[in-house]
Amino acid sequence: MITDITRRNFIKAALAAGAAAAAGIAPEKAGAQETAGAAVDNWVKGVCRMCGTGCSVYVGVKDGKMVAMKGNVDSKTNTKGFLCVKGMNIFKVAYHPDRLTTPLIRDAKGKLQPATWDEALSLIEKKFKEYHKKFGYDSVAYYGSGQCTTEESYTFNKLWKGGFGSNMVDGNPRLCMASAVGAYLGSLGSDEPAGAYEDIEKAKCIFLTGSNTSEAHPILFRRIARYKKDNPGVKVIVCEPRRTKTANIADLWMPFKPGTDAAIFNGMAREIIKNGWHDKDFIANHSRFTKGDGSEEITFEEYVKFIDKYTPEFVESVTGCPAAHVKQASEIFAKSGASLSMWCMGLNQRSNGVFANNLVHNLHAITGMFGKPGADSFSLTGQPNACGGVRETGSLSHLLPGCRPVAAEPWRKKVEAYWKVSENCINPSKAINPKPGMHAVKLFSSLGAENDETKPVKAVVISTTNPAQSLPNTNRFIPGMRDAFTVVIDIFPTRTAQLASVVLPAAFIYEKGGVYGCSERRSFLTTKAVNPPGEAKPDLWIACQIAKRMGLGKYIQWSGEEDISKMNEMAWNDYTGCTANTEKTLKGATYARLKKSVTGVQWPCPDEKHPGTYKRYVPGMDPIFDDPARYGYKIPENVKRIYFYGRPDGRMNVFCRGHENTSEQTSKEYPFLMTTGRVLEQWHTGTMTMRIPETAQAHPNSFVEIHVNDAKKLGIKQGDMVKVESVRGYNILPARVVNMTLEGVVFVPMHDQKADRMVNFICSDVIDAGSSEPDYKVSAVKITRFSGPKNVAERYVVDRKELDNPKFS
Amino acid sequence: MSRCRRIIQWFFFLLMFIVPALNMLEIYFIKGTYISMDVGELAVSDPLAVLQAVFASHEIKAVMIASVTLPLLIAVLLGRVWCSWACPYYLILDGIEALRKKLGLKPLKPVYSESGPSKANFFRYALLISGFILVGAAGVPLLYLISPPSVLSSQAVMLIKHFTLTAEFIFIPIVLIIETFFVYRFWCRFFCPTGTVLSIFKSSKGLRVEYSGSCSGCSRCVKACPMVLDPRKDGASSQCHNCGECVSICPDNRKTDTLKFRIK
Amino acid sequence: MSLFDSIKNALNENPFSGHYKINRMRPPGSVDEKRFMKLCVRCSRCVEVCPYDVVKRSTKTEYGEIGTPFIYAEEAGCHLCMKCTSVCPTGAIDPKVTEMEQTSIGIARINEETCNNYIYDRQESGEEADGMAALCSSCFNVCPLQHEAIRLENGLTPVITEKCTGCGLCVERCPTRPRSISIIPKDMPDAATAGYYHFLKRMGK
Repeated sequence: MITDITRRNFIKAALAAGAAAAAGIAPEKAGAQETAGAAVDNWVKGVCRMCGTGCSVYVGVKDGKMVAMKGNVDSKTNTKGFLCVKGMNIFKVAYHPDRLTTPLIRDAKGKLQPATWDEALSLIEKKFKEYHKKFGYDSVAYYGSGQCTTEESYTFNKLWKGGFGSNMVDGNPRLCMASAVGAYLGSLGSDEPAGAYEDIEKAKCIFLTGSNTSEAHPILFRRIARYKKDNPGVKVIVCEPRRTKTANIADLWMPFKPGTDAAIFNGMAREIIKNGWHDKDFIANHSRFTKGDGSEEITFEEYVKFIDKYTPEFVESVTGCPAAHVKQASEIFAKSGASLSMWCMGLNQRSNGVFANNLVHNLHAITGMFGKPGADSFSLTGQPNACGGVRETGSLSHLLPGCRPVAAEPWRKKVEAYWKVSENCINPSKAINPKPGMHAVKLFSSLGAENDETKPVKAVVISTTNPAQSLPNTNRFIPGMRDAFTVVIDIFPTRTAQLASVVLPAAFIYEKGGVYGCSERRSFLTTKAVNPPGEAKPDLWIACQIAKRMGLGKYIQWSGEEDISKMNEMAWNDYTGCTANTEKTLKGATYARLKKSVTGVQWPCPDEKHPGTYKRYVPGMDPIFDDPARYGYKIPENVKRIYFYGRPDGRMNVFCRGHENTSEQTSKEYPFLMTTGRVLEQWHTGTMTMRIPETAQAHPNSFVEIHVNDAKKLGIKQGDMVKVESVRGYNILPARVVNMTLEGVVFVPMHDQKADRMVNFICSDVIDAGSSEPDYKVSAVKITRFSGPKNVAERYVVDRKELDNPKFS
Repeated sequence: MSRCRRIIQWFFFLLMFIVPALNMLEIYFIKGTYISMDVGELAVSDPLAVLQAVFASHEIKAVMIASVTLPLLIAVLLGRVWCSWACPYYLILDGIEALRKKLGLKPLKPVYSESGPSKANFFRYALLISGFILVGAAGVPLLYLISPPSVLSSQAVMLIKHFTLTAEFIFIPIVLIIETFFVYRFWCRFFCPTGTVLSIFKSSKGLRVEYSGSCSGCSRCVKACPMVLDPRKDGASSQCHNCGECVSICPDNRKTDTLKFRIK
Repeated sequence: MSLFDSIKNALNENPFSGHYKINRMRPPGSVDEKRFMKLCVRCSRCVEVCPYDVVKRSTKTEYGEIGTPFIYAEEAGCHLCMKCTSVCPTGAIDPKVTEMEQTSIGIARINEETCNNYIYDRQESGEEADGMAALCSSCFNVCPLQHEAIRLENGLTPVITEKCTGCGLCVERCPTRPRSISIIPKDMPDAATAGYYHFLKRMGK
């Protein structure tokens, strides 16, 4: 007997009482935000930096301090100015007491001591010059971020590739977008999606795979969910191992064992062709079937033969996805009239990431779901400026601005000429190195102390990212970062700063301004709203100071400026000039235009009058068709429907990719597959979101989600502390017993900074052979009950004191 | 004997802090406070607490009866040994007495009077009965608020687990100040509801101090008795809690059994 | 903190002042308030056994509640590990309640005026957008009985069902200030059923 009164009566009584109680406590509408809004001096336009959606915002400034935030109701990305709880509170980060405000240099005893900018920069100059001389120009590397502004990434990229003649430039987009880049280049011939977010509201079928959109891109998810609610005829298919909030709105949920989805995509392709749902015209005129790396062309029949073994039953046996679901999904996808695929890290962060991406493109090729409204194969980005700042400026080790390979001679020569490398380069080669540099995982495994002959990289500048927490199998990379000359540019103490030799205090995005380019090719300018605290400086200023001291002051023309807004503008103009004759042209997106625009500009945008491009590859929509010669393309006169100008024959590649699972496999000892991901309230390594009181409280620690049957077998109860262990390392996490994952699959969010809850100690560091992107999504682990429940909701962050501690705790 | 008693007293005093600490280390063999405790599968409760719950709620549960069985059995067989051999509050009082002696302060202990024990008994039983009437009427087990071992033990949990004390702790310093400067052991003698409940169950056949009938008449036992009794007369009194101070101090015991514990 | 604030807090938070009536629950499995107040002997065993340190001892004197266990949802909600049900010596917490689904210590109530997702929904459905709508769903994400005790209508607006146990985790995690979700504890707002107050009432006062 629990209660005297019946449950129903109690609820009635409680609700009545609740209404009364609420009357006493009911606050004014919309809480503190709105009251703050009224007291704001002015609203400064900017963009949210807590995911790749590119939500446009206004920052409320009062007395030189940020006090409020609101969405931009005119925005094309976050329609009606919607934000998520991260974005609404982001400005609070800037005033957290942990902010770094002076440069720090690690002394002989291992303590980080405050220093002046001159001391810190002189030390960097001395070390760089010494290493350049002793170990060659490739011994000093730059590791950037998809959160740096375009101007910053471009400047560092220009400094390294043209100024130092070294391609040792990489960034954290290598850990998130590299596979998508590889597949877009391979399948379509040019990086980045053809369509835009507005395809969501034009699609008839939305195929979400490898993305928990509801948590990782909440604002886009709402666009999808609202569109579906208003148009019940629209079908949503979610292909994911977990029945997430995203899957809850879906008409069809296709579960599968992590790492096996390639078979599903091939199975869908087979089902579509077998039933004659394919688009024969598109296949005949716009597709090219190919094997292997894409050089060998095959016929459509050969392709059909290749995928013939992927019967729904075979797919079910490989993936665990019910055969009926495969059939149903194929029908919905092919017959909808306009199908839009969206994916994110679930496909990219995989040992077969490029292949998985290719296979999704294949589905669109055989059904002709390209080039019409609502039909596109759209890769979502995780970071606000991975597209604009890193892919488009080519700030990865194998790329040059315009997202073209450094190895491609004609373009390299053009960039060399534009940058005047032969005059300015301090490297005696006086040219951009044609050999790609090291990708992230290789870079950090080659990083080491001066006297370590096995490690060719001796120094690294790490800006706006936290590799000591975000690299997979982190244990492998920690010693290298600790021993080498590591310069960290960040606004807060991080795990990486804990290993740094020099820590430079950076300015927050709204304290410097700059351009961010989001997933849908849209560039948006953030205007500087307030001054940075203490001696914190914008990364661009830091880049310029390094350039000046390395004798490249003239080469980075904006290094002579002191005003950050002017520096930004000069860097932006230099960048848009550099890519003006590529399909990534933003020549028309001048600073003056971006300042005025409340929506931003989508490339290609060749001149100031051009409105920006919603759909690429389609004659009449894409400005490349107006003057192909200018961009170095040959396009026949009478193009119908679509033309993939990035490909020599204008046809997109349909690859024969098998379902070989190169990810880590379960074994007797490690019988579970662990997958990782985001939650709505937190972002990346939690450096910022763990410092916003509201979001930190909403998700104060990581946990591990275990299926209820597995938990029963292992004797694990809700809340028990569980040891999740792989061959690489272990975590001790509280268990959440759920029935939303598949049996044998566990899930851990990735945001916690506490050493025994940093999930990347467990994650597999297998990399994709094509894109060198690590496989965060599939790791074999074993699960054991560690202890009973413990209160671990501690919102742990690395603080200033922790920086002197060489061990993670 | 008195050293043995001291060791056991300290054991119970420290246990009060160790049990919650063990719980935090997830050792659940022993758990609880001196109001209620589980040792392995054995449940033990303060009879006072359970009686109050019975009075307040008018219901008796099997678990209640089971958990008071052992304490009551001990009370019947060994008398109020809880008070002198285990109660943490009693240890503090012993400490205060030793401190006063060390500081050379005048002893507070009153002179023994014949009517003393019966007056004290009347007072404390009356208090207990009125307390229970209040509990029954109010429907709230309030007597825990004035039971020092209950308060100490539950506050020890608060201290170990939350590093705070809650308001009812204030009772302890107030009583201690009175005990230290004004009235000798007045709480144990006149008020303590836990002790009084245990007294009810003290049997005349159980452990008691027995006097052989003749002695040298040095009266050291009277001086030593912490409850202001004359062990020669009041050995079986419900006030005596079998601390054994009189037995160990009696000089005549060396020759013949003059003042001894006896059971049955 | 200024001197004035310290004095104000000391006065307002003294042990003799009233308790807040919402967001304050008994441990899971507690019998109804009237019997609870009679049975609870203030032994602190539930406080001791709680691995999350969320069961706290009351310091308020109102209705003789001092020493009884409470969970203050705004500080920390109950994770429903059900360790406390088995230790109660008098059955004030029912030892037969061993599964979280059996628990009923209150019910959550959402303030639709201030809840982030309700504001979002209204603006999405046509109310004029002011750029102040922020999506969250933290209450749904943290609920131990997801989809049962709480579900998201249209994937957006949280709705509490009858299965809500009143654990208060959603209150703890709610990112709005003041909280947009609160627990109405079972029986608690009804002062008539608690403690000696009840006795006085019976006596006609």
